[in-house]
Amino acid sequence: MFSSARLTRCTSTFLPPTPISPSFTIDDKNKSYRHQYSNLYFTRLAMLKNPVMERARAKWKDIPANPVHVPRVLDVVKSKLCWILGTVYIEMPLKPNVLEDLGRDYSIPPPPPREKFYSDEDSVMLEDESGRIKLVGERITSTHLVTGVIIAVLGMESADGDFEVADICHPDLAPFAKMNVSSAKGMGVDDCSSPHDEYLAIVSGLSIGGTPSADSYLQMLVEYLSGEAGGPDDQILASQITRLIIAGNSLSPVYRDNGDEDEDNRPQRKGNSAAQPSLSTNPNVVLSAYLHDLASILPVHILPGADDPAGVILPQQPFPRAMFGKAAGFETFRCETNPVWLRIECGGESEDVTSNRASSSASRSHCSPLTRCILATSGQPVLDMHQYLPSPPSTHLSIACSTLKWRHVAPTAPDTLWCHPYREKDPFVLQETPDLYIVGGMPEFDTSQIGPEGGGTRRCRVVLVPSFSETGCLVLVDLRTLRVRCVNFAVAGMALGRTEVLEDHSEQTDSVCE
Amino acid sequence: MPSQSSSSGTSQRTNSGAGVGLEPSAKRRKLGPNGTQLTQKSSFADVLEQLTLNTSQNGTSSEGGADLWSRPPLKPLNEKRDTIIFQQIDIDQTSDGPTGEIMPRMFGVTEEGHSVMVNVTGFPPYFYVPVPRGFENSDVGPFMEVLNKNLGSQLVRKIEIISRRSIWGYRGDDWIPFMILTISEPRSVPKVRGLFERGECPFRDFFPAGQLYPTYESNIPYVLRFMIDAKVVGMSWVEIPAGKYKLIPDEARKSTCQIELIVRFDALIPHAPEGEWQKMAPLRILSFDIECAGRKGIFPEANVDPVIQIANMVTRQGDSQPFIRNIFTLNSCAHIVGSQVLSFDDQEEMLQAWRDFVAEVDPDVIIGYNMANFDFPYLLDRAKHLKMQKFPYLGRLKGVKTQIKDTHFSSKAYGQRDSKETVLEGRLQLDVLQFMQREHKLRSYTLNSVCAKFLGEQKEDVHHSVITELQNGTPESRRRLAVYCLKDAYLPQRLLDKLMCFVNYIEMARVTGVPFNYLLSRGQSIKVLSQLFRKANEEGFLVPTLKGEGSDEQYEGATVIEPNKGYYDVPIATLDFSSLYPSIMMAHNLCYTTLLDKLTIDRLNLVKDVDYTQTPNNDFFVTKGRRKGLLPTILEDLISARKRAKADLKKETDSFKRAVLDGRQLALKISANSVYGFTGATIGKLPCLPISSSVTAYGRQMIEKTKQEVEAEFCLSNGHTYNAEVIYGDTDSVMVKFGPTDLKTVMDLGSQAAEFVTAKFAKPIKLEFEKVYFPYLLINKKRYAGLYWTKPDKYDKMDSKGIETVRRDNCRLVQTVIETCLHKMLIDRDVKGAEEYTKHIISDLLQNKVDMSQLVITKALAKSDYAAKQAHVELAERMRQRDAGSAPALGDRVAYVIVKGIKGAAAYEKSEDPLYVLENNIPIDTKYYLENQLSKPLMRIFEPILGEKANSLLSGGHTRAITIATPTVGGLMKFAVKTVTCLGCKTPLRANNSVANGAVCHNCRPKIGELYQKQVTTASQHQIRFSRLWTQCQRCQGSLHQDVLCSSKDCPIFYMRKKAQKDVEDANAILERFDGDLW
Repeated sequence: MFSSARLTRCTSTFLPPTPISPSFTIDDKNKSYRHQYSNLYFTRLAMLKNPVMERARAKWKDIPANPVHVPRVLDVVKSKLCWILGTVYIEMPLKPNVLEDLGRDYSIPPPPPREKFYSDEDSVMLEDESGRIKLVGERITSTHLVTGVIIAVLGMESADGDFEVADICHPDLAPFAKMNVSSAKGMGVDDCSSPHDEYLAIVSGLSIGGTPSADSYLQMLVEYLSGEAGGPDDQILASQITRLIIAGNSLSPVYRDNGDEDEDNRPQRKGNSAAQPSLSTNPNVVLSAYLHDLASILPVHILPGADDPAGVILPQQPFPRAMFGKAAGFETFRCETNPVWLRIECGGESEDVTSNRASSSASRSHCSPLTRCILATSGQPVLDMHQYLPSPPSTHLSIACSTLKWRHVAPTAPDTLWCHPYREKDPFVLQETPDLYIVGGMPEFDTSQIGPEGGGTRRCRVVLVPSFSETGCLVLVDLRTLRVRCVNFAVAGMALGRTEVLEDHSEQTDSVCE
Repeated sequence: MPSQSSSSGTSQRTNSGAGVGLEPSAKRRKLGPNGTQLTQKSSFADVLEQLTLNTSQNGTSSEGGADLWSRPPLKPLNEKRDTIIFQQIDIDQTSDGPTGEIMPRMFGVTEEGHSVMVNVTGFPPYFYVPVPRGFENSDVGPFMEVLNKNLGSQLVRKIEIISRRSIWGYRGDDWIPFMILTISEPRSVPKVRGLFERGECPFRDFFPAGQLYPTYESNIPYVLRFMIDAKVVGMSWVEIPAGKYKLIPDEARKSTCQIELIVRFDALIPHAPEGEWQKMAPLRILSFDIECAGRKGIFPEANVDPVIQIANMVTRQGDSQPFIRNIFTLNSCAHIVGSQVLSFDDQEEMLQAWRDFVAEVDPDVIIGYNMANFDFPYLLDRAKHLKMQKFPYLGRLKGVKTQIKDTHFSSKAYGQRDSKETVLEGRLQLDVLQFMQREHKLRSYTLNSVCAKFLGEQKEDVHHSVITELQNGTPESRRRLAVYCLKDAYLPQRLLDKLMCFVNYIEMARVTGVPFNYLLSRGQSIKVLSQLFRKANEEGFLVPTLKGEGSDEQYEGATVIEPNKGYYDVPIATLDFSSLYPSIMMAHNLCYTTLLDKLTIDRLNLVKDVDYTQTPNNDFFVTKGRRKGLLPTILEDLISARKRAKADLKKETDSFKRAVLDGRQLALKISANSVYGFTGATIGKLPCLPISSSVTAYGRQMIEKTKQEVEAEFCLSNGHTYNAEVIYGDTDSVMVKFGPTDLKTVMDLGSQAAEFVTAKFAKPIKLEFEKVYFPYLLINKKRYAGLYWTKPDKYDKMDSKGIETVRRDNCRLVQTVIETCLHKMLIDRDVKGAEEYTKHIISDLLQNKVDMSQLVITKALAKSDYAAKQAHVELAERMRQRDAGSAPALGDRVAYVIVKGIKGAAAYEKSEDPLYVLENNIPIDTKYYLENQLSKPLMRIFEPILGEKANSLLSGGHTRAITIATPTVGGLMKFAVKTVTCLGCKTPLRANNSVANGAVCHNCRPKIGELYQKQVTTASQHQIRFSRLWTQCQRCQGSLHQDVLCSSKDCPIFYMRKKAQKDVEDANAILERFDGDLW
């Protein structure tokens, strides 16, 4: 193999989660399904009430009419300017309705699921512990809200008992995680303009067992990451990739019999009720082999996604490690929840065990360590919210950005997005803004940076990762600069490893997420 | 109350409710740590808001119509110049007049919405007796003296002699003398009548002692007598001309009505409900509902449990929405947009305020759901218990105490019912529950299921034990209860509008001439009687009073042509006689007045078939030429009035007027059809079996004749392509298989046949061709189903008779299966598919895969001392032993499923609470469901198709696989040791063949990946189910922050969501075993 210099893979360190970027593992305390979903809404409102209140107070304190905060939405006084705070609920006649499904005539095939829920008959409510009030006005119709977000609204109750909204206040971005001092200094001094950028690679939707082209893409991916493909530039770039996140949908959808469970199973059932499962293990074996290859090259994090054989309810729990055979042998191979918080320290003394540890310190001696806080999902929340909102103007990217401002990863859970009935916490509330927010399972690649409304130096990089099997797209994020690159694989003679640097147009995409 | 601090919102909710000492110890989590009981505003609250919106557009601003209670103020009236026209709604009798004599009293409302009470003088009760032969005019005075002496007081006021005829039998055209006896008061009429009936008026041997002497028209209610003589029908308009009445001065008023007057009987001008007089006054309709705080496990008792809320909705007749909406609450209650909340600290204060509210609003009609048997008695009993002297005055009369009466209603058509009646003078009552029970046959009459059926929405159901908890909570929890209560008050009004109950009943009262309140409280016969009296009196006929003795005499009913059972895959034409029985009566002049006996025939030398006819039942009736019968005249009037109403209906565009016309034509149809039944009702007022038996005899003859004629005419020898065959006939219709397979041809043949046969019968009998069934499943007499076509290009509907499984002791599964099978057979024309489906369901049933809600049977726990043991009573008893608190109380509906019991145990011993079954995995007695519930209806529909083979549905290979749940309680389970088995091959897992806490045995390890995926798929389904069901309930209750409390057993979700909870936990637990295993 052609090689001009001996390249050494950069490393990064995986840090344990902190209390404010919590684990999504459902622990024994929260395992029970005995609880109802009201707990989740209650805790969500409790957790986000204060941040919204502070912001709303600041935002509206200078208004001449001197609006007061009415603590309970039901206590709103007619024709008096005030502001209230609560959970948004959008009533939508087109939402899937299980009662309708049960009531429908079984002899008629079910209608195909709707692509969008919104209609002219939707109405927006604001609800708190005391009750609900209907929000009306141009401001509400022009703001794209979804069920479950916590907002404050300024306005007054009209004669007919609705709340005419003049302005809306959402929580906006949560504070960023504290940077550790040394790394901040490191950034400031900027003595680390080393050529060794450190990249995080993200891929989503390997969809093994689906389209045949996916396999060839995947083969190229492995070769690329191992430095066995492409020119010297590619190899250098590849060597700077410190770890890989697989954000969902690694297997193509397995046969899933929704509702009409037995229609298809039954004819095959022959007496023996303990019939052997007919599911093929083949895709899983293939995946395990690839994962073994990948894990031997670099640390790998795998998240389950909507199509994967993991429960559908969010947060999806990690795959059983053992499922991936030999890949499970690598300590750096990790099965994660979906969503997941990852804290990664780059540039420092590596404590991560990698094959080339010995030489790493030599090649990058002077870089200060930098901790990056990453939130990754396989995309179900954004896809669900997409059904609520008309597009255009809403895009997947704008929705993803909105979730940061709402400080909630999955507001539509549990209303239309199935989620676990948590009793004592709402893990989807963002108590801090990640440096990097990865959304897998998206129809196309997109990225942008988003910062707090009042400005501020730190911004969060939002990256939408498209299905690899369909686009051949591997996303690279520079953990230091948060610049994003796309590596596109294509078969049939296309240039391999065509990369694009995309941070420049990110300003444009920023505006979309307002 | 503890402060509802919302600023403490960051506090996490914990499971203990011990945060605030003031709070009752909170077992439920919803009583939060800081005392904030989360309240919801159900989506019904949105409806309330909408209502405010609409009223506020009409210029009202006050919430819930708080400023609209009173009626519009009345301008001073001038007796000399002002004519008073009003719609009378209720008529009773009174002795409140200045003379103390008994007189009728009408209550009503003017077009402007003023309430009116009218006392009518100069109308004493009376009845007739035939004048005995030889009795002279001069005998009248002495006779009256004798009578009064025998009676002991001056009850008979006046006797006159006039000429009349008896309605009973044709005796030539002579008029005969009758005495009118005017009686002092209605109560004394039976006394006077009794003298004649018992033969106790010895007057010069005219009235033989000890022998019954007939009286005429002596048993008609006084009020009805008045209405008939005044030509006033129920709910009609009455005019009182200026100068003919006297207003009663304020100080002498007996009622709370705005106008109170006295008028002579002969000054009344009745307006028949035709043309402009079909209009309606702006009647005020109050719909209300009360909530009581019961104790755990005990149905609320008025002597103990307080009334805590009363919700009210007042609607003006014809308006689409209530203009007053309010709720009276005990203890504070948070604000409800669109409704007025009136809170009271003291229960007596609240009840009294409500009474005053009723008095001020002065409703003309009061409606509710089961208010007659629950709400009213409860309120009055409660007030009595609290010794509230001023409460029980809810009627329109000052100083008349409202009381509860026990009534017993018995009717051949509606069965027997015990109920309570609260008399509210001057106000009408319509209990929507009673209406439902009378007019609709339903599986269940709970408000929930009635709403689900007719309004298409599920209603949250809060159990009465939860009500107390909500009441004891905070203003928010009471608000939640209030919204619930308001909804329950609004639903009867919506049902009333949707089902047009009120409008249809008004038209019924107008058509039949009876007071409105007879319609729910009395049977069919009074309606016919009222019409008969009116018609008879017009023509000088008198109606005899028959001693109401029930006879068991039976007569032959309608004929049925033996069905040729089977599944017909060719069009079957149906020929119907339109209004068969009325037209027979008209065609053959059958009536009391035309009935002949042999003696009269001989006496008058009548000629058969010229002067009279002999019916197939060998009775004799004179022909129209000699005398036209009253009943045929009444029927002709009804039928032509119906034709007119239908014609008007076609032209009318205004939706309200259309509704009135539609109600009218329906009332006319029902009335016409009930005449025949009246003559056959042996315990009725005027049974006449010669009429009813002749009617059915004619009917039988006609059906037979139709069959012969059709089969003789439409046959190969007459040039038709097939021999027509009558495959079934019943009462008034015959089903003909003409033979051709295309709809168009059969429809043409049907019309031809109808015309052909009609020509053979006397007018106005008419055979009509209406519809074709194709395909047609003829199961048995009165049991069939088919696709109903009236035009060849598209079917109208699926029609089935006699196989609807509305029987309430059936579980829902039966209904679903039968409906789906019929659908597949008739609409999809896929008999094979129906078989497959049935096998599938049976297999699912045997493998325990059918949803619990499909298997639940519900019955109301009426009284606990049933003679025969019943499943639901036994279960209620067992549940009481388990936990007295949650056990069903008297009046509750008990839901149960049949579970596996000891061999040979009776069904009632095997009933079990569905929730208990779910929680403890108790095996369902699937065999019971198969054999006692499903098999008969299934056999019924499949036998005509499959014949002998039908049995294979119940016993084929699909019934071999059986899954029985492993219970966690009872019997052997105490001794059973649970072993974990391999998820692959079910081998018990032991230390030597598996990993500790693992999923599979060593042998199955290679397949572990597949097994894992399989389990994940199962778990995912359960997870989705769990989420979907519980979020749906959140939406239905209209709150996210509030736990779902609903326990509506009629809702298809209720058991499903409980099961989903358990299933998802079980599935996840199995999934976890994979974590522990080696792969």
